[in-house]
Amino acid sequence: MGKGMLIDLTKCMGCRGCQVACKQWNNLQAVPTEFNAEFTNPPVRSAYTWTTIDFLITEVDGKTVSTFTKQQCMHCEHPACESVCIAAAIKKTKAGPVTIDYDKCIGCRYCQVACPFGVPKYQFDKATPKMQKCTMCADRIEAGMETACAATCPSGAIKFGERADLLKMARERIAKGNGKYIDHIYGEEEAGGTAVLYLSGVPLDLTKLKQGVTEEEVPNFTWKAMRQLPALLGVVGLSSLGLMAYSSRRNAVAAAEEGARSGAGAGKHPSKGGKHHD
Amino acid sequence: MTSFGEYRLTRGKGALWLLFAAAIVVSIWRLFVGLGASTSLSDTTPWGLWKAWDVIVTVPLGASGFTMAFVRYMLKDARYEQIMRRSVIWAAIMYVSMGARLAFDIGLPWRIMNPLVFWGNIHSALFEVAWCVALYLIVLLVENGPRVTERIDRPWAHKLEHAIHWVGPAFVLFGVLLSSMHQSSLGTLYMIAGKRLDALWYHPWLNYIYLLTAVAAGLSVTILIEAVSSKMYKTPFQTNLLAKLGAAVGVALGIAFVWRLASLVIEGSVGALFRSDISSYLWWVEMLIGYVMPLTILARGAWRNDRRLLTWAAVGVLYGMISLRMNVVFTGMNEAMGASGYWPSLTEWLSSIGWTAGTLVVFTFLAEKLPGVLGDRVKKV
Repeated sequence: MGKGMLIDLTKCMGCRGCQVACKQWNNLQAVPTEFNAEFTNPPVRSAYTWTTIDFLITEVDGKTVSTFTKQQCMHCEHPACESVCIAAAIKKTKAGPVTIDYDKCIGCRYCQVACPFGVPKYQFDKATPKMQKCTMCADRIEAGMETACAATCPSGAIKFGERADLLKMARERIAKGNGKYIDHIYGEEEAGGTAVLYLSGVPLDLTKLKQGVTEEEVPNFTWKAMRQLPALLGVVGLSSLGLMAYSSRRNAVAAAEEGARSGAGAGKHPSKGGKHHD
Repeated sequence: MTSFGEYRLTRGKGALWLLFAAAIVVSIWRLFVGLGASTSLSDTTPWGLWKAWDVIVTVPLGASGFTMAFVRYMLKDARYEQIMRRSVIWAAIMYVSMGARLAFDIGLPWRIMNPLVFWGNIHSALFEVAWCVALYLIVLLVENGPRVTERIDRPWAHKLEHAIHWVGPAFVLFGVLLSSMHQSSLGTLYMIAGKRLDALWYHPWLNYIYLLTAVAAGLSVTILIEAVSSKMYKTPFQTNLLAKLGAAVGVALGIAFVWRLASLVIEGSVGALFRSDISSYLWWVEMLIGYVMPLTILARGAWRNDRRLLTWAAVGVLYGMISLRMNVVFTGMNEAMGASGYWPSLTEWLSSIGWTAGTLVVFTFLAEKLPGVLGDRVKKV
């Protein structure tokens, strides 16, 4: 099993240290930002901002509830982006991260359409653009380190480790939490399982986590059609050949009858076109 | 000795050539400024007009090629020879044009051949489409080769023509197989969205709906080519032959129609039809113009044998084909992608319109230069 992250939203205090660490480690340029009522800053994730703390301020039963949701690539166990990538540039690595090989990517942007979380972002502002997203610090993992965001998180909200261990840890926290957590580990089943897991103290609609994400492995959505292509070829091919044989026979019979009537003209080449049409 | 036809440049054709030239200029300009500066594309609308119209719609607009080659060579009906020639050369134009346009849409155009050269990912419907289209271009070259070789009175040209004649049927079969694959795989593309796609256009087997509507649209394109060609070039409009194609259109379209409605019922999405929002209106227009109107005409022998009605049915089928694909890309994915209110930029419009104008005017050029395309005329123009 690969690595993953467990993000405990109850521990996040919205300091955005992870955003800074991410930009720093990955050499991501700063982007112009603007003030907005929800304090998410920069307001959207982009090719230059791979992770954000998404603020959500809502009122529940007269009380203001403010939640912080750290968002980035979920690193699906069965990534839709990997399955649709024409150039095989996107790979789910054994270590856990889903990475993009810039040398292979042609920029078709199908991964952006396919991702159920809307993660990949493109450098639309460049003449030679790259598809960008959180790499789960694949380079750091390779060097035996944890992700930059996990390393920097001062409240311990982001835990890095083996996904299997993190799942166990999450279950324990829910069990021992005395109702502190809702009984749902986001990412355990979403999109067929993701390497990034979330615990929340409030119902998920009070967070910015994407709701209504399928629990099926997304690549199956297209593979169920693709795997039928050999059968489609068989049906179309055999019926074409059958029709061809039937039509040849029909034409031969017609030509023979014609020949019997007029005594000549049978066996003329049928496709020296232009001469014989009505 | 060669003997190509005369090309007559008229004011109308000149205007189309100019639009085509403008599109090429704009496309080259896009290479230098990037997609962001030249289009309205964004992370919430990664696929815009260029992918939707210039690729996903343009490919089935070229479906006249494999459907008519099927009629001519699988059904071995020589009466369709001239009709097939026009349909097959139109297909070649659409596919070449689509390939060129796709290159300008992808982020790094010079890598367009990379997935074919360095291999890619067999799980990707797009990879499958790329391979099939590339191979189908070879088929189209073979199918159209005789139009050129028959004009060249040289031994090598005669030999080549003879060779093509000999391998022709095998290539036609290959073309039918490739087309079945990529026309359906264009539908597979958006199946990855699952039920993120609006219930109105969600279909568990969108790939087969795309294949059926591509067949219907391909034969409808053929009917329209014949209608235009008979007006422009006084080629015979063989109503009896085209009405038979019309019947086939009716069968393919009818299956798609019933299957789409059945899927709505099975998925429990009938309520979506009465949401009274823009997307539900678009669905109703798509169904009425694209399916009900043509099916009503094509179901009656007398009506589909009426030149006018048959042409209208073909126009309806094309509307339905285009509407389905545009709605899947835009209307149906709007909410899932973040409702960004995408509207194509001037560059995108100019490019799509210009390249489309280019396909029309290149058709007139080839039809006039290669007399075998038009064949016998009712009267000289």
